[in-house]
Amino acid sequence: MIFKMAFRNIFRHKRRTFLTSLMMLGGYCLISFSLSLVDGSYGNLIRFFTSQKTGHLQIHHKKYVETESIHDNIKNYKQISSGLSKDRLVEAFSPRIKSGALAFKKEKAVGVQLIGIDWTKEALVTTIKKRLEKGHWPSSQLKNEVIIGGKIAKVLNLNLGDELILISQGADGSIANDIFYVKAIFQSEDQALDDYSVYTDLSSAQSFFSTKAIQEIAIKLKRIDFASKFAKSFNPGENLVIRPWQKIEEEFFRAMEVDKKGNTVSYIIIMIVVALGILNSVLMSILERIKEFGVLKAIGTSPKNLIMMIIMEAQFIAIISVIFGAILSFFINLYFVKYGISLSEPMTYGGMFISHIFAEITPRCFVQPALIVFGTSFLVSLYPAFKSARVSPVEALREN
Amino acid sequence: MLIFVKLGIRNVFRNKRRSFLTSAAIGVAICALIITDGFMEGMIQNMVKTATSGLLGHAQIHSSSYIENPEVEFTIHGPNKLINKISKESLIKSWSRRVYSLGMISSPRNAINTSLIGIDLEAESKTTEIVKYLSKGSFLPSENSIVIGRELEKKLGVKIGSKVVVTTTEAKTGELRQDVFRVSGMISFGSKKIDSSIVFIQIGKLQKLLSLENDFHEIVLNLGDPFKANNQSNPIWERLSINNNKARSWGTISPGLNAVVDMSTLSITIIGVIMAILMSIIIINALFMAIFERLFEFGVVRALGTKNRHLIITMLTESTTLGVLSAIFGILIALFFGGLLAIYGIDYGGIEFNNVTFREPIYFIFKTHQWVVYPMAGIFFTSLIGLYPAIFTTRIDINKALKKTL
Repeated sequence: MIFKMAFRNIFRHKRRTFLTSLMMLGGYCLISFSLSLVDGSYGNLIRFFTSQKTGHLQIHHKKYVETESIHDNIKNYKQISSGLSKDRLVEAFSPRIKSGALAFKKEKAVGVQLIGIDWTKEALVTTIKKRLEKGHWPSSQLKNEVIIGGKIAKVLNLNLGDELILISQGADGSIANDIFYVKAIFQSEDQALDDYSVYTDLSSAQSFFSTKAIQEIAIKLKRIDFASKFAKSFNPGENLVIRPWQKIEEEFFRAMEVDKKGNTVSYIIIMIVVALGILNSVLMSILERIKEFGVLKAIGTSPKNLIMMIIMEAQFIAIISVIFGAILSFFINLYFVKYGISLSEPMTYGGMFISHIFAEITPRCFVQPALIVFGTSFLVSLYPAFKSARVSPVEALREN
Repeated sequence: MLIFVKLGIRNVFRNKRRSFLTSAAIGVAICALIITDGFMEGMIQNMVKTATSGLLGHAQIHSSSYIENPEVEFTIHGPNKLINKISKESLIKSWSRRVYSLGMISSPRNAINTSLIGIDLEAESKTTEIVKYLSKGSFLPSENSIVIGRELEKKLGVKIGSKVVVTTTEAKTGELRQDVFRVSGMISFGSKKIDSSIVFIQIGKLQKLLSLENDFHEIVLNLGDPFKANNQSNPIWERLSINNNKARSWGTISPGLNAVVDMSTLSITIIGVIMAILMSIIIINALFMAIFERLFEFGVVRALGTKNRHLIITMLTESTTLGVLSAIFGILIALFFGGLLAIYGIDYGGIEFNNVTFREPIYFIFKTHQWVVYPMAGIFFTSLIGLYPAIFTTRIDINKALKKTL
């Protein structure tokens, strides 16, 4: 009965219902859109650097994280690799060896980072194979083949097939130097990631640095969301650490967290404005009808039922607004998923390079604003509900 | 005429609760704009001050070829003539020379690629504040001392006083040159990337190592006020760009920093649009409720023969009065929160943004326009939106309105 009355009430004054739900709908869409923009911009960035360089997780020697020294390496690769291949969450992993070197061509030199990788395994973890601009992805048979970033190619004026001399320090303290051949040149959209990296195969890099060990295992999971959990559950062995991307790119992650906090403030402000708006229209539409409530009470409706009815009425309007809001937001967000907002000047934030902001449609873009709308309309209907429940029928009927 | 204005104002106070809630909501929206503006202003000033007090300086001069391709051989053309010119510019408070090169720094534990920067300590400390970024030790007391980025300390496994070897290539021949240095200090700019890829040595020493004689790559300038220094139309940049050298202010060198200004405009626009949407819904909502509540009265007023424009004036006065109330609310709330933010600030320490790492909290900065433009815009916008319900009242059907009693 109460349910029916509440339901019918919303159709009695269509315009009033429309105005109230417009307020809720507007609030829903705005919150949904800003959430979708935040998720999108960070989601894109995170996918970007995890797929181009870091992978979802990395395993290192405990000390390597700070020292990046060739001596702080992983010795039990075989054991870890069998553990990783058995794990169902792991999609792929790639062993790497890394150290600095000077790259020469004729009289020009530039400092680079030499990274030894397994050609097959690396291609499964990062997108580097897809980013080749010139040349072919090397096969594992030939030694001392390298692929280089476009930046080095430009600075050293290198072309496919050219010789490149690398000089560095070996793990045993000896001077490492060798000739390498440019097999391919890759390009990165991101200037910051296209830093002076030279990739060669694992065994060439190991003999160059006079070592048998590796320094890093980059892991790609089936789903990135599992990264933190996986890091906690997987035990790589003594003296080794496994870190999710949140730790690898800590500077960025921290910057992202601070920015998210700032965004929360914006939501709260939007929420306050929306809540005041909803409060206003709910309050008015109910106080307008105080006489009706007087009648209801006069014919013996209990205050409890009256409160229930008013709260239900507000919730019905909220349900309608949320349904339409979800549909509308879906299309608004979809537009920005496709076209995004391009920045006039690319910028960097937390060490990451940003030129476009895209939206992303995630479940929370629909759930959170819905909860906010239901929550605020519930809270704001409490006051008028209790007020009209307490009204004495005599006074209410006398009004007007 | 005046009576309609009076009527409009009185209407606002007929339902005090609704008017209060409406103007409070719009007030919060106005306050949001003011706070964003002041906070962005604080962020811009913070970033510019941090950036220009560090390596960037207020302006720099390079050879044009060095800007395109920063290679060791592209030193400044005709350095003596240029310095002569600089000393004649009254705007320039001080200047300092720098030499740049890429190289490898190695210790028994590790070898790392870094930028080598040769600086003239005395002139540098008058021009920029990089000396203040020293976190440990002392700044280049002797020719063979070196200051390394703090992240390099652990990577190289060195302490103050440890020996390191620097390898680089000579400018003209490309031959390898090596020398031993003693770590005299550690420097930290707050960014991991910079702190793990930068070392300083005395300018004379680096010139010798690179066989550059007295040539150098960069002159960094201090013009007193960094914000004035960024004036692109100042003829000083033309006057100093002689002999195929190019003088550029910080905004040109680091466009990302300029982008922050754009970005702050963008965020204010976004927030402005969001708040405008919310405000219009709230105002339309409130005014329509007022209209329906008084539908009977409108019927009477129209039956008495009130002209349409007078009805519109009444409604517009009502919405404008609401706007003024909202502006007052907005200013009061913004004063409170802006004041809090101006005193306590928000800590962004260590966060990198457009190559600047914040070192201090960001504070709210008060500017006159915030307290004039946004409230005025709020009032104007409220009246503008009020037009719709105002026109609506002129279309009310007298017969229907008079019939309706509940």
